[in-house]
Amino acid sequence: MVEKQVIVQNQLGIHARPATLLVQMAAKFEAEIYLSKGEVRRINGKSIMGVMMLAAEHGAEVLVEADGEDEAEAVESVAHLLASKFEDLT
Amino acid sequence: MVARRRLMHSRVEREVDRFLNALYQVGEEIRRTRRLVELEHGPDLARIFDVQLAMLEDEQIRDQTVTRIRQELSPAESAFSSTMAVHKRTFEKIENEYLRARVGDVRDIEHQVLVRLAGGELGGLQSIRANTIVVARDLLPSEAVQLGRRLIKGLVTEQGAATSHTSIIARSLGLPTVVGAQTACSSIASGDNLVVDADEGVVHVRPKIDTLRYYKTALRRQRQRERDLRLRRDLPAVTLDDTEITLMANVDLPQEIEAAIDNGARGVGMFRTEFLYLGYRLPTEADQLNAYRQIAEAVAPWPAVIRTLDLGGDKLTHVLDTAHEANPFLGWRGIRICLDNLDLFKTQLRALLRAGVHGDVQILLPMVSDVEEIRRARDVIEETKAELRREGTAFGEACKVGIMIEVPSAAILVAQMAAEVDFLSLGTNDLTQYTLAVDRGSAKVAQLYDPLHPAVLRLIKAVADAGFGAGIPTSICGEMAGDPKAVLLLLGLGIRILSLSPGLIPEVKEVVRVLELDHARDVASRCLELESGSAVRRHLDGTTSR
Repeated sequence: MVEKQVIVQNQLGIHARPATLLVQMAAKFEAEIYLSKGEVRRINGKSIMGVMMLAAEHGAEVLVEADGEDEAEAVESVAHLLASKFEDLT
Repeated sequence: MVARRRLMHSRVEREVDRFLNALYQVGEEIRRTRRLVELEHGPDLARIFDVQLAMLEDEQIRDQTVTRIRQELSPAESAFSSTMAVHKRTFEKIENEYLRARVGDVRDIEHQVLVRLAGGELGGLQSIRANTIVVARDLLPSEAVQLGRRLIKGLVTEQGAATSHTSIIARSLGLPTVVGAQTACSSIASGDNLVVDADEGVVHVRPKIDTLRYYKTALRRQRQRERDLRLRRDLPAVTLDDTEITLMANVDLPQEIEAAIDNGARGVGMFRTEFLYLGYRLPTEADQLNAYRQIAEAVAPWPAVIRTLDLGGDKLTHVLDTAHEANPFLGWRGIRICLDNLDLFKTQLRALLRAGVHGDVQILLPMVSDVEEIRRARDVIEETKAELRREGTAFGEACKVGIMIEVPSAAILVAQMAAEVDFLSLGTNDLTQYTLAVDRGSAKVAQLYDPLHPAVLRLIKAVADAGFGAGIPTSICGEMAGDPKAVLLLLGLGIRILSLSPGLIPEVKEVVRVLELDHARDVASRCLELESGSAVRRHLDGTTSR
């Protein structure tokens, strides 16, 4: 199990489009990927419904965890995406 | 209401297959729609369907539904509906309004899968005839696309926010749409006449005769305007003797560019960057890159000429150490400030050079009064390029660099200046003020301000000649470029590129298209010999009304 804490940089937070990108990326890994934010614990990082429910706004602290063969790479990629300003438009 | 029905154990796996097959079919359908939308409306709008695809292929939704089928022995329809109901309920609790609006996509997916499971194709809207206004409680994004492809005249929904995908699609399809008309379905009956005023967000039900008349006239005018604009936009700006004149736009905000292009602009001749600097803090490199890139991409393949910061020291008191000046116009401004504050200047140059990757970005230096300033600025540009190269950051190697000619010394020594740059841009507003020593903001002397003064015209002529001699483009970006009377004169003086307010482009293009260059040259050479601005005006009035 590998984990990393990141801060969401997108001005509009992780809305529908970024969530789609995130899920598409997460799907490429074997490892199970989980995201947590405050009270919302361990939602499935490969599920867009889950990621959207997370409603991670700009500045939110998100914990990324991964469990599986490529866990280190998975956490690194997802954390990097969350901490970059990706897709700040609809 | 779906009747509670339980499956026979032997049917369970067939039901799971039926569900998975429906998901697959809907996925193919969405991909087809996506391709269609991408072809017809571009990739941005098409991306909306990526969100739907991700929802459709969501493993939670799939797994939860399959589990329900297997454990509760539910038919696929009710298993899927129950799963979606849970998700919709959670969705409605999200505090972020934007995300909450995505529930429209969730409903859309649900609807499409259920229709598929029922063995049908989406058909309800196929029966709608042309010239119809659709009134609905709510509309799914996929339905909006179908509507837009038929000859629907308008759309009114009770629900929906301006940010929902349905509204975005309707707007992009040019479908007049009013959302959030709360009692629409109960107060409108099938067959009623309706006026949908999407500009005002108003629906007139069974309009009175004078309301109808008002809108008919407004609609006719709008159509006429659009037709005229389209016609003129696509006409070349060519004189009667077949010389092409380039009409570009002066722009202050990235958002204005679309309208400029609709008006027929062939590029941005001057983008003023001052708006970026008037906030509480200095714009970062990323802020600027974002703005410049937006401009470069919006005007591509035409050039985007971007002027570096041209504020007087008095406007930057919050970030610079400024002293009060008795004559700010003759003081610390434009390139002078930039060369004294290399950090400020380099940040802007880095953003400009990097934006050069995304289009034809050209750098315009303001307020140049001495050739040494050009050399120093070009050194800073080269240094900045070297830094970017060292970091491995991509930038436009070939970004052209030009100067504003707006100070008399630059106009008089223009041949020397032209040898140092890739293009010249005449700022006739400041050139007039400095040449005639008139502050046009001062009421007592404003009437002395006259860009048609022969002293100014002679400087313009010298600049046009020097540009021609050096083989570099020379444009005019002062207000006189948009004055139909002055256009004849400017072309006669040898100018071939005009940069003006977007709204004036159609009118100036009309002037260009009926103009003969030989005549313009005659008029110009006569005006150069006159004694005053008013003599020039009299001469122009006499020749243009002939």
